[in-house]
Amino acid sequence: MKTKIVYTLLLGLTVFATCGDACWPVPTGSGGFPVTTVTYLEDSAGNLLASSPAPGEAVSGTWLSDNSGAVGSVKSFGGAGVFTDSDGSYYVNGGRVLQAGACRLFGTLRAAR
Amino acid sequence: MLFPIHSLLVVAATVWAYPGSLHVSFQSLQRLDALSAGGIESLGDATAYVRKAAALCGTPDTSFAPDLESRLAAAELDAAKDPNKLVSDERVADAFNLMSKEFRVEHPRSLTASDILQYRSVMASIFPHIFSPKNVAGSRPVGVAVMLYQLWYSGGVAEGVRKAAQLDRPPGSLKVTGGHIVGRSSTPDRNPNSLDQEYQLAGRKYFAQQTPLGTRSFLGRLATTLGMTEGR
Repeated sequence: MKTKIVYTLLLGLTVFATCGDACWPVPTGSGGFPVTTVTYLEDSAGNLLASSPAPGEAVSGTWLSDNSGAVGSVKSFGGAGVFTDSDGSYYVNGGRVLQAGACRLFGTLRAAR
Repeated sequence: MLFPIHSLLVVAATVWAYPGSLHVSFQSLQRLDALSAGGIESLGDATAYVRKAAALCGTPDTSFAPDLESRLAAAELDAAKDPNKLVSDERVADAFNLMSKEFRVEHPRSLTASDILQYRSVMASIFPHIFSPKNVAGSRPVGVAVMLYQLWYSGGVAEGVRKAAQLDRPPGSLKVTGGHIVGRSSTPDRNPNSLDQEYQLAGRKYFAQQTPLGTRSFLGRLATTLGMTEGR
C-alpha cells in the first residue's frame, strides 16, 4: 500500500501600515497612509513560505501619540464597512502620521479576525 | 508562435501598473491551481484556461491589450505540447533581477537559476499545477507570471523557502487544514529584512510614475530577457 504524507500549512493574517518612513502614495501635508492586509503561509516547521494580499479584510486603527511635526487630522478609522480592497489595500485619508512625506505612525492597527 | 512570452509579460506588468486590479490572493492561487490541473489539448482549451486564469487574478477584461488573450493561449498550448518551450529558471531569475534594477529597489535581492528552482520546487509542494516541481526543466508561461508576481510581492525568496527546500517535500504534499487562520496586527517584522514591503513599494511607485511608453519599453526589455525576440 502506498502511503501519502500530507503536511500542514498555517495561514496567518497580518495588517500593517508600513515598517519605516517610506510608503506609497506619499502622505502630504494633510497626512494619510496606506494600510495593507497580507496572508502569510507557514509550514508546520515555522518556515515562512509565501505571502500574498489578503483582500476584503475588515481593518481598524487607533492613534496613540505623535510629536510636534505630525500631520493629519484623522486619529481613528475602521468600523462598519471598512475593508481592504481586492489588492488587500485601504488608504486612510487624512490619517495622522509623524510628518509629511513619511508613513511612520504611533498607533495600533487591527484586522477583524 | 508569435510573442507568447511578451503577451504574458503584458499581463504581469499591466496589473502592476494599475494597483487594485490584481489580487493574487491565497484563495486565488488555490483556485488557479485547481484550474491549472486541467489538460490543454487544443487552442480552445488554452484560450478557456487563460480567460479563467486572468479572471481569477483580477483581470477579467483583457481588452486593454490587443491580441493578449490569443497570444497567451498560444504560449500555453506551445508549452503543453513541447517541454522545450517551458521558461527556464535562468531566464526567470534574470527577469526578476531586471525588475529589481528597474524599480530601483534600495536593497535588491539578486536571484540565480538555482534560487528559482528552489522556489518553484517548494511552491509546487503547495500548488503543484501552477509551479513546476524540480524534476521539470522549466515553468509554464502563466506560472512564470504568477511566480514573478509572488517573488516581487515577497521581496525575493524568503529564508523559510530555503529551509523548506531542504525537506524535499513531494509536489502537492502541503495542505491547508481547515480554518487555521491566525490574526496578527501591526507586526511588520514577519520578514526581518522587510524586503517584501521594499519591493512592493518600489514596484507600485515605479508604475505609478511611468508613462505608457515607458511601461512599454520596460516590457520590451523584460521580454528580451526572457528570450523573446521581436518578430518571433
